[in-house]
Amino acid sequence: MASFTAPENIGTTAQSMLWLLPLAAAIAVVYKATKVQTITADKFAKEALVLFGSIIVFIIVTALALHALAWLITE
Amino acid sequence: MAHRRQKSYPTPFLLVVAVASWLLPGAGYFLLGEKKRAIIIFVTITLTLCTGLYIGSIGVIDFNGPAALYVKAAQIMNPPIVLIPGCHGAGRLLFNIALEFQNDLDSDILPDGLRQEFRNKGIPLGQDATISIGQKPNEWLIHSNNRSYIIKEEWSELKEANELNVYTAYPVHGWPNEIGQIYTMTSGLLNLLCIVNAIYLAHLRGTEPAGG
Repeated sequence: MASFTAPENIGTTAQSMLWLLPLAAAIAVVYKATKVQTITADKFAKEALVLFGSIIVFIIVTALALHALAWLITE
Repeated sequence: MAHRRQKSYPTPFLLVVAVASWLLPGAGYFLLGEKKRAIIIFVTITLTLCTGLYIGSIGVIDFNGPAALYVKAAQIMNPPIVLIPGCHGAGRLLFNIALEFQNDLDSDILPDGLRQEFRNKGIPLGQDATISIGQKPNEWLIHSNNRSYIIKEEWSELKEANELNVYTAYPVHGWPNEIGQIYTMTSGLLNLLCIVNAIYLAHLRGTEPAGG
């Protein structure tokens, strides 16, 4: 319980962006759990994995586009 | 998209599903006999919420705090059990201190007398203890040994005068606070999605094909 009473030491580093992975996984799992008609392990895992991958790819593409835009503005 | 209409439930049952879903993630699906769905949702939402509380501390859920309204609105959709640790620990009155400390507090000075008051109550402040102005007027924050305390100037009906009260608080700051807020907001919004979906499922008793 002690860890829940004080914040973790997370700096504003590029590595801290990795915290989006579990969040994206949670979103994919819960969303698919509300959508699939019948839940079977292999089908559900596949569907959730595809959605998780889609979210990550979209985030990476958006990040690259924003990075390019920032580079164009500042250079 | 076509729905297969199988069976409908009376309106009070829909209410029960909604309340159960809010009280415990996935409980609404459990009532509808969707046990696998209920377990997956319960585990995932609970883990997301706990991760947020672990990263940012229990203090990230503070409905009286300075967080934006949309943050509180999203967080309130989490199961109400999350409020228990916060209400139990945060905002608990510890003791009163003399009003004469106010000048030192305004000057960001932690006087020896105040340290002694804390020590007398079994809360020794470390040498690294810091003091800062709070979010509201006549409010100060003390941070020491990974713990926070709020000192508030408040009117005492008993003494018919102002007094300084010391309350417990959980420290929240910076990037971990933001990540914690994002996680707890997301778990709340996912729970809202499940509440709405469980009611919808109970109403129509039909689901969309996979991949929808």
